[in-house]
Amino acid sequence: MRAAVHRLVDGWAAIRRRLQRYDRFVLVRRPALRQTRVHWIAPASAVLSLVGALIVSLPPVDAEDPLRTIDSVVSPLLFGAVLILVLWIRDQTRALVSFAPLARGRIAGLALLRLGCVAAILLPPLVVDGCMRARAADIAAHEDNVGVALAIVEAADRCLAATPAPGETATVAGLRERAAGLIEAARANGNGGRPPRGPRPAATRSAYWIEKHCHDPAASPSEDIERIERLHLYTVARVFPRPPLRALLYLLACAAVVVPFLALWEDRRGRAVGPAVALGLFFVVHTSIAIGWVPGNWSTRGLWLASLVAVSAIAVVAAPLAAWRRVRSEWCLLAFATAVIVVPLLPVALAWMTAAGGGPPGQVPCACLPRFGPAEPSALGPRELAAYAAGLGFCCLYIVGMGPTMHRLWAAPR
Amino acid sequence: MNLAPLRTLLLRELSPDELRRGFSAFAADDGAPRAGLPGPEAGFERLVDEALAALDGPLLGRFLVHLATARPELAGDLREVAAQLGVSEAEAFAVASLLSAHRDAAAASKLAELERASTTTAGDRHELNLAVADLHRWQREAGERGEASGDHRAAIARRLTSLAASMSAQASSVSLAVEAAAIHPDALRLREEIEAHVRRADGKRAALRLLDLAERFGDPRVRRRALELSARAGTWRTRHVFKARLEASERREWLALLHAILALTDEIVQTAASGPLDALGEHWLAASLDAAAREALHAGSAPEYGPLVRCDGLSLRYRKGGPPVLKDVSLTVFPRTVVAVVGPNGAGKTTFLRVLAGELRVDDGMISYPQLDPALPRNEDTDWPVVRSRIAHVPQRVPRFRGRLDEYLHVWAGACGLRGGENVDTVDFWLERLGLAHCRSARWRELSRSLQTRVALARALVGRPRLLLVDEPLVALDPRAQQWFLQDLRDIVSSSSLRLAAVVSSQHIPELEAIADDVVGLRDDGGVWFHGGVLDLEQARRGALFEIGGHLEDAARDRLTAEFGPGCLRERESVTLLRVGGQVSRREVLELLCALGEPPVYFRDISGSHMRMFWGDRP
Repeated sequence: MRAAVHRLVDGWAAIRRRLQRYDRFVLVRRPALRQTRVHWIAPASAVLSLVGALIVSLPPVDAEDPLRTIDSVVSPLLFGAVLILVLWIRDQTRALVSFAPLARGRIAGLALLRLGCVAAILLPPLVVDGCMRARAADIAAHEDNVGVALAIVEAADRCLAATPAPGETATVAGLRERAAGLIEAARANGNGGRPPRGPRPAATRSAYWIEKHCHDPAASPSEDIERIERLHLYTVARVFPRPPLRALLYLLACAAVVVPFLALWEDRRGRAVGPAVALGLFFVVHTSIAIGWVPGNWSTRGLWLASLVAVSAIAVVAAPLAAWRRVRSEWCLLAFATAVIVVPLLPVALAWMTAAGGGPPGQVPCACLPRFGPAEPSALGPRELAAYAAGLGFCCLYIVGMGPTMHRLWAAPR
Repeated sequence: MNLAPLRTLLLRELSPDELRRGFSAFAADDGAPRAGLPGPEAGFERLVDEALAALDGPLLGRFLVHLATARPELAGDLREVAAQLGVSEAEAFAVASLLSAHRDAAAASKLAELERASTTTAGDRHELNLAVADLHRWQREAGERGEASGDHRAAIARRLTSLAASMSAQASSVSLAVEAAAIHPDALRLREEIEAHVRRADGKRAALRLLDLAERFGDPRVRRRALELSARAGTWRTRHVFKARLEASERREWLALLHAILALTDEIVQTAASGPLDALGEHWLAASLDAAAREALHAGSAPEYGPLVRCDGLSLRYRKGGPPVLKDVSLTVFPRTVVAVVGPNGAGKTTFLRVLAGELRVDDGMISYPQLDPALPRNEDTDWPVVRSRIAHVPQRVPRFRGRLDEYLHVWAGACGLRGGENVDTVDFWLERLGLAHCRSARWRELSRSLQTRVALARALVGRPRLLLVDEPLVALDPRAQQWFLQDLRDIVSSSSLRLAAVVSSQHIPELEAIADDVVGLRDDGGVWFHGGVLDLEQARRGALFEIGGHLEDAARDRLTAEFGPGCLRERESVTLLRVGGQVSRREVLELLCALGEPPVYFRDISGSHMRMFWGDRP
């Protein structure tokens, strides 16, 4: 036993030594990679993605509740990724930077590396989710799932025939429609390409599923249906990441590019950057109201959006102008900080503006039931993608363009 | 040749057996003929006559030196006899005489003079240095053991006398002049320093100077060899510094290490070619050259001799209407110089360093960086990123680092543009040079305050600066660490290939004086109290200042006031300060105090402290 422990300790020490050698190798030869930690993030991300994909793919299709297990993995994974992203951004603000002139190429390289790191950090939950979707489509078309859908249809019929409560009728009817649609889809796909496992009449299958998941004899048929739906159909039909989460991830990606540079050039000139941060937070709160994270009304969104656009335009033009006119470096820094903080909010606001309806009539968005514009969550569309890409592109280009000037101002005496 | 005095001396001082043994040992050492000595049955006089007959010509002189080595107490008499006989190795007798009188320091100086005056080979020089080092080591060990003499010392003395004889026999100068002209003068100076450290048996300091030499004149391969030797010297220091006596094998190992240091020194020095300006030294401006040559020399020599920073009439207030922090401060800093900025607390030392570092903008005055600013020749605004990247500022509050020390330095070297092998070599060099190699894996919290200060210095130097600004580095260091730190700083500034200058602020005036070339003294109000060379500083001090402990009776106070004038006494907490004129000595003051009654509890001469310099600043 002791020998085994010693071997384990020795093995761990050897691994540590190798990792330290690898770290030192990167540190000495590629300082920029070491600065962004991409040499750790990329392999860890690849391994996590691979493991996640394996976990999703390994359970057999006919295992009990395969998707519920997987779904419980994705959300913590995403939460962890966001947490790591925030910590990583904080870490990047402490990077050691010399006063030596910073070339545009180097700034661009650093910005792209940081974007790569963001992608790598977010990769595992996205890969796992992608695998899960493929898997979910597979499962949805499976014989048992079709059986569940059939069971829901039958249960819904029974429920509707048994005169349910007034509030339940619409819900049960909606569920019946979705289950019927699923059956149609499965039939159109040739039953998932798999032969049925054995002759089992539809009614028996329904009874089997209902018995399997609804043990409570006192529960109403509609509750039974909801239970089955929660277990299977919800996960199959859901959209990931939902639009608010997409906006958050986009803003974090912008922060990953902007914040390390801003923290460097700010250099304890808090009075210059403070108002820009306050302005940014003001618009963030407003955008949060818009996208439904914070309760609020929609009445003044046009005004807010117009003010956001105006502030952005002024800041974007003012920073280079101030540098050219050689005004005090604090003012230049303020304009620059405002531009890089406020402008990335524009794509989110525009996506919100272009979203149809602004929510179902009479429904107030709330934090516990997030909605992004339309009543049903929408998948990532090309316009939204283009807006986010434009925001990120602006951050990179503006920092590359203004970087040398800001670096010069940073190095100048205060 | 009249051998009578020698014959008399031999008959008087030696026994037949002693003469026979000495003659045999001399023959074995020098290959002289042993035939001709009669057997034991012959009388002593015949034995002496036969011996003298066998020692004709140059052999006689060598025999006398051999005899002086074997019997150092006879060195004086032998020297006189040798002079009468016209034997040329007179200096060897002087060395033997000094060693027999246990005047080792004088003997070492005499040997050094001999070495400089003769055309010794590198091998002879090394042998001499190692023998003197052995003598120093013996002294240290004998001091620990409380012994005055011994076989080992006698062996060392024989070796040194023999070396002195061989050196004094050699003719001087021609080849030395050739070597001096071909080799870089700084390399020769460094070699002298290294050899001096070796002679003092200080292997670690010699290895550190070897590192400086290798950094300046060696290629990466040589630098690595120097690093290895320095690491070995460090290990030796750690293992054996407190050991009372080395074993024979350990002694051989130690001497081999010193020999390796000397050999590598010679190897580097031989390759250190002198440039056209180096031969002229610092007097190139006065050299007689035509206009074109002078212009070319100006362009080429600017990095070596032109000013790094020039500031004139700097004034600064932190806010409008506030008290002045700096008032009309001027300074010019040249490469390879150390400037000390001294003054009491709140005088503006830190602010002045921050201004020089480009952190603070001044209200009035001019500051320029002739060698650091590429925009200066084009009369554009100061290119601050370039200027500040060539300035290293070590603040009083040393910045913390995360992770391990070597990682931190590698990261900083990478940020300063060093990649691959250059990065590794630079970090390894400064870790070893500043005595941080043993804690390269340490984290911040594991380092003492002294080491943290060194880490800050290492970080500053890794970035290859031209101007080093060090703010109050001595605050948390004990006296020995202060000396070590300042000596390192002085050595690095004077000999590094970086051609850098250092501006150091501190209140430890005597310590800084020891290494500084210029001193700027700031007053409480930010004005300049003194600006000039260290030699001028002594003259600027008005008289002496003494600290007297304990309570002074009224009678004593009145007597002192009457003696040294009104206002000569000031009370400070539990002590009294006494200021006297420059012509009054410590002894006189102490005698007066003792004559007044009980001697003081303690008495200290603090004439070199900042309190003396700033006597007039505070009531």
